[in-house]
Amino acid sequence: MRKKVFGFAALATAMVIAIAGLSSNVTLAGSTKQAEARAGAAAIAGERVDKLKDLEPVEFPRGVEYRFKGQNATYGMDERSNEVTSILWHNERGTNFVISSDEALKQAYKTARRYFRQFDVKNFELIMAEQVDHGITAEYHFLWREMRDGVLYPSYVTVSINPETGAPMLFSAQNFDVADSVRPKLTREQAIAKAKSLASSDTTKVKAADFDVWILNAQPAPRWHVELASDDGLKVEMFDVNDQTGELFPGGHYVQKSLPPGL
Amino acid sequence: MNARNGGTSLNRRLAIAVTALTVFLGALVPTRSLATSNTTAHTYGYVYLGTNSTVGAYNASTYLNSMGWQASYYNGSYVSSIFETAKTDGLVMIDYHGGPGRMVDSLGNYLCAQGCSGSSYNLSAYGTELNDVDFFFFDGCQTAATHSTYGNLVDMAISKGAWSAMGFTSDIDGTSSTCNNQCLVYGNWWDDRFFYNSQFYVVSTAAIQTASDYYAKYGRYGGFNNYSIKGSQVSLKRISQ
Repeated sequence: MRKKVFGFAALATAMVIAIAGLSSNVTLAGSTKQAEARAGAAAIAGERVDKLKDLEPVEFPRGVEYRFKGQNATYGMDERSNEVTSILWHNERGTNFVISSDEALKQAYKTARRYFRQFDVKNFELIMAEQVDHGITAEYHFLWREMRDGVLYPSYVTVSINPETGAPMLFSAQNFDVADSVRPKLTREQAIAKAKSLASSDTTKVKAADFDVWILNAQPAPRWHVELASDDGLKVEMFDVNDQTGELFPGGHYVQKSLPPGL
Repeated sequence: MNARNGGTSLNRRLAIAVTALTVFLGALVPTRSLATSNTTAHTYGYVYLGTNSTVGAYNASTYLNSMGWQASYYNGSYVSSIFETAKTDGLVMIDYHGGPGRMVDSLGNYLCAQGCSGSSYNLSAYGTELNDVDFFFFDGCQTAATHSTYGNLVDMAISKGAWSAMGFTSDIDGTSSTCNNQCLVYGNWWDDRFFYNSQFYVVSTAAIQTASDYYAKYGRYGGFNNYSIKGSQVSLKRISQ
């Protein structure tokens, strides 16, 4: 009997040690990756590693991004590749559009090429170019997405430029390789039909129905984004339809926070 | 010698001009780390008309408390109550449905910049009661857009004394009212990230970072890149962390 008790205690102790060891390995792996990311960020920032403050890592569909706040900017580093995926310059603010949009675009290209190695490797199309007045700040904003045969893929780069100085305010990018070309399984009409089958009776007008490839749990996720509006355009319901299954992605039916018709 | 004196004089004049310009530009875009003593904050969310904004507004209050505010979260408050409470607030966040010049509560009553009647409330009715409000956040669609009758919420809040006010010029994504255990998505996710980021940056920097984060998360901006902040640059941090 005593032997059995001893045997059980030994087994339990061994399990506790094993679990603790596993847990510390996991922590160690996480902290090692974070330390590598911090070193990478410090190299880009030109600052000492110990001068960077750790912010909470952000979980994106592609994976974790480690964030480090330096003296002049905050750096985001991709956990998988240890490449820089975002830079937010802290004090770059302008309110007046002093430089031209052409000059801003030139600066944006320069920033994209400097920080994003894939920019000249893949085919990136400029899909958004705008100048935005935010009141106490303003920006030139540019967005490129990878495009193949008319389909948007998850890799993107976006750059905001200070409209007074031409300096970058924000850079954000991700490289996500999708090996095979993706053709939609659902037709546009099928995606719209799915959305309409779930929509309220007062949202029947198709405002948008676009296909692209995004990411879900670090896997390519071909999707249809459908927006249905009320006749007066006030109420808009949105649907993210999984192109592979024809069903909605989790939480993929939502509305805009706009006033509904009749109110 | 004359040339050297002339150069020195020119340098001095240049230095004076640069200093004057710096002071002038500084006055144009003042930055303040909330100096008033009013640390009372209220955040409002609700489940109404297809949207559940409760998680976003609740998380906002949690971050605000960690930044030194005495923040309270309310679920489904009516505009009558919000209107009265704002008079003694240092920060107000209303996470409701909105449109140009107005936001709506679950009774169908409006908080408007101006021009509303009946059971609705107009910010224009305030005297100087918003003087203690450091940040008034109208977190709904088109709340920074102007309506010919109802005016502009953000501009009116500033004209009534708020130090800084924020809204959106376009529609923005909400979170489904049937989100169940997935309520920290879309609009609520943006709210959560914005107030998280506000711990480290002034509001305009937090806003541009959060719009970028939203794109990295969802592959679209959801309208959150169309934020508008009027008044002065503020930091929401009231204590060092």
